[in-house]
Amino acid sequence: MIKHIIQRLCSKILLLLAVSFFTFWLMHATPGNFFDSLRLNPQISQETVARYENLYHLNDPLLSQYGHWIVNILHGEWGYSFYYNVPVTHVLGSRLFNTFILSFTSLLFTWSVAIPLGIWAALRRNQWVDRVLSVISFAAFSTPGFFLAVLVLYWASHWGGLPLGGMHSPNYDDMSIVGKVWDTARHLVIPAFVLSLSSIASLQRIMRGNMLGVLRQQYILAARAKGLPERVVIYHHALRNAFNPLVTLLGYEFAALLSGAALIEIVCSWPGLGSLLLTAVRSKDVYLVMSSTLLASVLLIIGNILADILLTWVDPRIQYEKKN
Amino acid sequence: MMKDLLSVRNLTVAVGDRILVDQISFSVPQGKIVAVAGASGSGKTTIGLSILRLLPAALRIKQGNIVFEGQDLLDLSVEDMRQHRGARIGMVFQEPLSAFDPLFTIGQQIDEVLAAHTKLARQERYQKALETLSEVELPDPRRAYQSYPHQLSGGMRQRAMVAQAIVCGPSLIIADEPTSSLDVTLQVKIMGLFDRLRKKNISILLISHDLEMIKHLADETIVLKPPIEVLK
Amino acid sequence: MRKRINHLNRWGKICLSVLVLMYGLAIFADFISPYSYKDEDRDFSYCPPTAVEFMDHGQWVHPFIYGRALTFNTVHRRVYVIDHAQRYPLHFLKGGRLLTVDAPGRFYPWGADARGRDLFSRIWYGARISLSIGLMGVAISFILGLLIGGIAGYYGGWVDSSLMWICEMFMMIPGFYLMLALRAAVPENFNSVQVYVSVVVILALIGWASLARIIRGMALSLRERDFVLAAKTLGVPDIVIIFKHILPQTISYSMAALMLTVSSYILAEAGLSVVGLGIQDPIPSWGNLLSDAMGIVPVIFAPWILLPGLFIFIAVMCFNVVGDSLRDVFDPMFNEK
Repeated sequence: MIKHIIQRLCSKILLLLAVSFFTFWLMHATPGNFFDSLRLNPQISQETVARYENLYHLNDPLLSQYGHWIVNILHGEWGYSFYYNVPVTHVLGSRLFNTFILSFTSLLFTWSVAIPLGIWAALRRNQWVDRVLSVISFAAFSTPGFFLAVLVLYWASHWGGLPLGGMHSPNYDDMSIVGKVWDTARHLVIPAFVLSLSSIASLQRIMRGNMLGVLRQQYILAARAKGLPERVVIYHHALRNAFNPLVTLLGYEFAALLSGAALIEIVCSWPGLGSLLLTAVRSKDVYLVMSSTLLASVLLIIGNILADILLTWVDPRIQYEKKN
Repeated sequence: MMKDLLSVRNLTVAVGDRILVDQISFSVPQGKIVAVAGASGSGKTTIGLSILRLLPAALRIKQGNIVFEGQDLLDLSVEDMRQHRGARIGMVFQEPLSAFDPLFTIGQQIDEVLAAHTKLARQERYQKALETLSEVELPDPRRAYQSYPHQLSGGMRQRAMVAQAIVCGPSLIIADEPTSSLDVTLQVKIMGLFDRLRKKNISILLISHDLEMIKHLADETIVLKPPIEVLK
Repeated sequence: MRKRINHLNRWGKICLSVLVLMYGLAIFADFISPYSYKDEDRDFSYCPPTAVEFMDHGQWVHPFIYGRALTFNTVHRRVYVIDHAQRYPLHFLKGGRLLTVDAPGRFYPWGADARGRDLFSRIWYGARISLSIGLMGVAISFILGLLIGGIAGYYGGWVDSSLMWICEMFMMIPGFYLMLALRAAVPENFNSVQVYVSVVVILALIGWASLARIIRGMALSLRERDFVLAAKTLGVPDIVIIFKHILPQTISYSMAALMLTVSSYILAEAGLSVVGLGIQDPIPSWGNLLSDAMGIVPVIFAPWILLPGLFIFIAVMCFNVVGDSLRDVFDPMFNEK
């Protein structure tokens, strides 16, 4: 299995290189050398400008520039952010972490709500619970995430129980560790909830569909014929079989999750990778744009690989195919 | 004369207005193989599922008695019926690959039958499972126990299914087309297995359209005629 | 095609009708709107919706609206006071528009935005943009998907692998990030038409890859069919087989995927515009209309600015329902996954 993971990793790295070249080419396809505006910026010293000019070999042909960029990345030199006036790496780290906790929390919440809901809907097929859930689900994934976020923020402003955006309260630095965690958690509630809603909607429907499909299978009839208690039939046999195909979905979920998270971050002022990219694009902060995009792709790949590993662990048939 | 193990009287099963099984009556004595033969659609499988009361929701038993070991199964509560299944009456399905849960090992699936119906401890269940797996003449019971259904060959899977059906010591086995997914050599082996079961005084209700097999195995045969349908 | 539509379940038909209605109203935005999308009047900033009066002292009269005067209340909040002295009769079919009033009266069926522009008008002009961008984006994605997916699926082998590799590359960048990165490459000095085209292209690029994969899967299984073999033995060139025999079959089955893609593109355009990177003011799109509503304060005092969101919701929901119904129609006949 290790060999398989390494194999996947290698092909993904190749893809990542292609993605990096694509973003690089994209940024440099725009006319105008951003370094011109840089030189004119009084806040940035001439040494810095000269240093980066050297580092990136800006007078060389495109491919050579790309090569230098990649080599620099591997050395931990991710470029300079002209908007924040610091090296890119200084900004990426914390933003990456913030996006990660938002996405991860949302993922946990989504799966822990959607799976039981899907099972419930399947077991109560065509009864009112099922129908109501179906309608709500459709509505939920048809609503634009940012719109829902505004509505929730609007409601929250009336209720007053939750902070309305941002990640930390003004007095964050004065709090104890526990206080800090709790404060972050409170700020996480609205963005994570809104982000989860449409995923819950689609996942629940899929789980319901899988469950109904599995319940028609011969091995469920066989399990009942063995005299197993009904709860063993449903929650041991049917559930596992209905759940497995969803693990493959997990890999694809990541793309949608990161994407959705970006917009929600912006609306809820959550300082993550998505809002960083927005600032970067608005200010034409080239290295920041490239780095954020690349990093987002890396996150995606890691998510996919983790999902792959999870799948092999959870489905014995796949392991078997690899052994042979 | 021995009392019959299973006695079916005037069984009628319908879906909506359409009658699938029309007033069927037959008996299965102890330690005998009774075959239910007929073309596809004649209601053979429906009879088997009716005895276990596992008919799909759309089908209804309109009429009849199913007396097993002196009790009418149709009068039993749901919980009592569940306790009969697997423990007193076992079932062997046509396609073992789809009748086993693909995500659990054979051993786990045999173990859960024992756990549901007996009070044996884990180690005892393991022993009993291995015993039964060797009784059905699997060459390596330990390996079969640890294997997933897709890792065994068709013949071995079918034996494993028989093992799962007999592990709790039922007195009746319902076998629904047990050999139709196997090739001829394997069919002979399974037939031999059934013969051995009969010698141990286990009755078998053999549902099949394979007349050759019925000729060799069955003590009695019931032939079903399909309910008359007007075909347009 | 008509046969297929008849097979849609009831909800599918209802939603399809709603969509047709929406597109129809969008096309006639000029006619149904009281004002052009640019027409502003800062004296009426955030004016609430104007009610149409049908009765005067208990008598039915020609519909009219009252004037409004702007004052500030004790906490310096804007309040519009109805001025019963001023009346503006509603003109029917005057100047090419369905309902208008004479200046200086302003008719705001659904309220006004920050600059006193009529929200109703801007929503329907915006409908033109939001609804058409989705369709055009999908058209391009679909063509790309058909070409690449069809060729990959038909030839298999290294052609398939390399084309799918390119698809994977596109799918490897999360949608929103890809959208922003592509947007960053668009020059700043583009005029509104060029921006529109850029947004269409960007949308097309984020979704073509998954369409291509779906079509490739279908093409892969279709090429094993007998009619393809027959065509080959008759010496029909590959290109012709792909375009005349295989691709037409994939079109019906991919209809469901297409509907769902349109809905995701409408959402994507809205997302892009709401952060100010899509269609630019003064041209309205439902997304950029909502960017006004992104702060809590305007929403509390002028909740009608949330209306564009409702329209996005309706449009997306209808496309989703139609796509889902289409999938139910085709699913028993064709297993893709």
